[in-house]
Amino acid sequence: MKFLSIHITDLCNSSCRFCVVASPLYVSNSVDYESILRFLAANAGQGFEAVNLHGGEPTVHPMLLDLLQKIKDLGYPEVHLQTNAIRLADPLFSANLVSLGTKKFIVSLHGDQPEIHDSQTGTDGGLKRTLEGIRNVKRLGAHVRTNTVITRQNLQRLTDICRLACELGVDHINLSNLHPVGSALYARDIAMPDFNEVQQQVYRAVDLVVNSDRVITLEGFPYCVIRDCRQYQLNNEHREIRMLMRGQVINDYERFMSDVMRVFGEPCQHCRLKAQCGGVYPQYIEYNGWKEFAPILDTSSSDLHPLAQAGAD
Amino acid sequence: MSDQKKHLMLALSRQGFGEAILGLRVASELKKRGDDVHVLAHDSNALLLRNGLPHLLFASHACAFFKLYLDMCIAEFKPDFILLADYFTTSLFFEQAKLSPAMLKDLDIPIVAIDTWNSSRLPRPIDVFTNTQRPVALWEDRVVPIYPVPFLAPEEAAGVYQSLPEPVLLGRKSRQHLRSSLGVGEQEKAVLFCTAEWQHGNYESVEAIRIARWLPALVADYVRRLGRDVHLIHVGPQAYDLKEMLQGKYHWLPPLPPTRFDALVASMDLLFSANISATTIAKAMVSQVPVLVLHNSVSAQTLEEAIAAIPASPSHFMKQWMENTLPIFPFALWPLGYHKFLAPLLERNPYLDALDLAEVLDESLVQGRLSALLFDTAAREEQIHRRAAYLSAVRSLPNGPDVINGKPGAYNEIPEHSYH
Repeated sequence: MKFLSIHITDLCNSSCRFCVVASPLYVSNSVDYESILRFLAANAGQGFEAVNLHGGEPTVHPMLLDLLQKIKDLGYPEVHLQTNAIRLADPLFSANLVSLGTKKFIVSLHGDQPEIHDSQTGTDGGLKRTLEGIRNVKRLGAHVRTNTVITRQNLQRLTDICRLACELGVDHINLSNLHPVGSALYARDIAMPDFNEVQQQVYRAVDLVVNSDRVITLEGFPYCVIRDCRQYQLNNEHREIRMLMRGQVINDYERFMSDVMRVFGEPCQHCRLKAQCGGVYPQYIEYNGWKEFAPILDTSSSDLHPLAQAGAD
Repeated sequence: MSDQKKHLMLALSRQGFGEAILGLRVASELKKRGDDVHVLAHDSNALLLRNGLPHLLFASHACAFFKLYLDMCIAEFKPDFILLADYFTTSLFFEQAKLSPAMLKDLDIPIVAIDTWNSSRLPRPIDVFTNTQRPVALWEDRVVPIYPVPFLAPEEAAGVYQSLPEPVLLGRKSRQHLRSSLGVGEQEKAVLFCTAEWQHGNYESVEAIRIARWLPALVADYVRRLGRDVHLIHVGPQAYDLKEMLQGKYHWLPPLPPTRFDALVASMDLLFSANISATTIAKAMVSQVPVLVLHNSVSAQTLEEAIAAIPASPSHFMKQWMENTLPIFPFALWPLGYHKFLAPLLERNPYLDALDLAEVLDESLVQGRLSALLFDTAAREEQIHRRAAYLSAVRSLPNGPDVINGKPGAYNEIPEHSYH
């Protein structure tokens, strides 16, 4: 898939302690609206299948509806919106977004209970509104993908979060490895689980979602730490992403992530999947070192999770 | 000389950020006034340079090739000045890498050196650890020194300039977010303790290794005595084994990018330091964060000597701590020492009015000041008030570019004799 990805605001109505762009530390917006319009105009007609809008929280941007109209006018086929879905609890607002071409909502869902979700996102009543928002856009026929950042706080509830998403009719569930940058730089100590703690919880969550006939993907995990489920890695799918981030254009976002934002270490040298694997966030290594990593030497399907074997090529 | 100048900054320190931070502060001011700055730096400073000035990094294993890097920068950038950040660590770098200072002298480019400790006023050699003394060959005849305040005294003298960081204005919501991300509750307190690579070093002195290893435990014990509601936030290259001692209230963070680190400092209730000249102290000062600095004047070989030198009978913990640490040597920069070395600079220096200083072995004093600066609003305000007068004196000094480029009280033309 080929799409544009645009950071449209630094501001947010949540204050997630693992926010990769540190939105809660921003008191004003540094993103120039005109630069977004110029970027869209410059890339129009070049085969981009979608425009992915994110932030901060794109739904707090006062020009969002205007922006959607302009994207539509420029001929982009669809918009994907990365959102906490709080504002989607307003049915009229949701309807406007969908009518202006938003086909996919990528919704942050970090807990299945208010005490898990709201405490991590700093939103009083946030989960209730997020769930209402998901229901609203599902009723409007939109595709919904939830994104759950795995933290110490929600790790034990991972299958419950996935179950909730399935019950809501979510089409696709993405589980993300916490990226320790932005606000998460500070929260590493209390929020970032070790991969050893994560692995079995991820496997159970994957089982549940696959058995529910929904799509599951895993994002930002080195292959060896979830080796049995590596075929669900989001980066298995080829994605061509051109990003505009605070005035900077990143022409190949996937490559930027693997070349600049992640690293490989000694254990990776003999791994047969090194070329596919994106590596690991260096901030994780700063904290935990390389002890949990081991090369994958056998790439046959026999070392995959049983469910994965059934679906493996 | 044309108005716009080109400066090649050398940031060669390998074990800490302080010197590069001082240099980058001047560099950013030079940029603001239209000058051009390029940095040649050891790669341990990479975190400070990310998304910043154009730079070339070299690794430790390439120190022997330093001249090639230097020549490359000179050829491409054609600087009008070379700026050393700083004087002392550059000299040390040349000495340790067995490089000849002549490679700079022969360039015939004026060399301006940030002289953090005003070398002309310092006794030599330096008191390091128990009695080791390490002379550093400085290049008085080759450089024009400039003197950053803090930590030097603010005085009207040639080359003295203000080197204060910008205050970080953290909103209530941002502060709360940052603290909650660290695990600090709304009613709880957060004490910041920072260490640099050189404070985790493998020293040639057993005594230094002991105090480097044990001081963090004493810091943690002082924090523990304040109660369950106080967290110790440690930023440094390695975590200490203090989690159990502080029952989950010890949080380690590796070195952070500058903006993130500055925000962290501004969100703290207190900076606790064992390095009187740490650049973080100035960050805390401008962001209204109280500061307590530990130093040690006691020299003791035995427990009896140590007990005799302190004002009160030690606690059980302190007694054990001293047994683990002995022999104890004076320090102003933990764990190196530098106690006698820096003494002339601390005499009548109003910098000391802007913070609280406590003898590390004086439990009652340390505990009392810690408690007051954390929980007693009047005591916090009293320090902030003392500090205001100091900061005002610092702000009245010329800034770095004025001093370098020849504005009032500075060098109009670098005199020829000073670099040949």
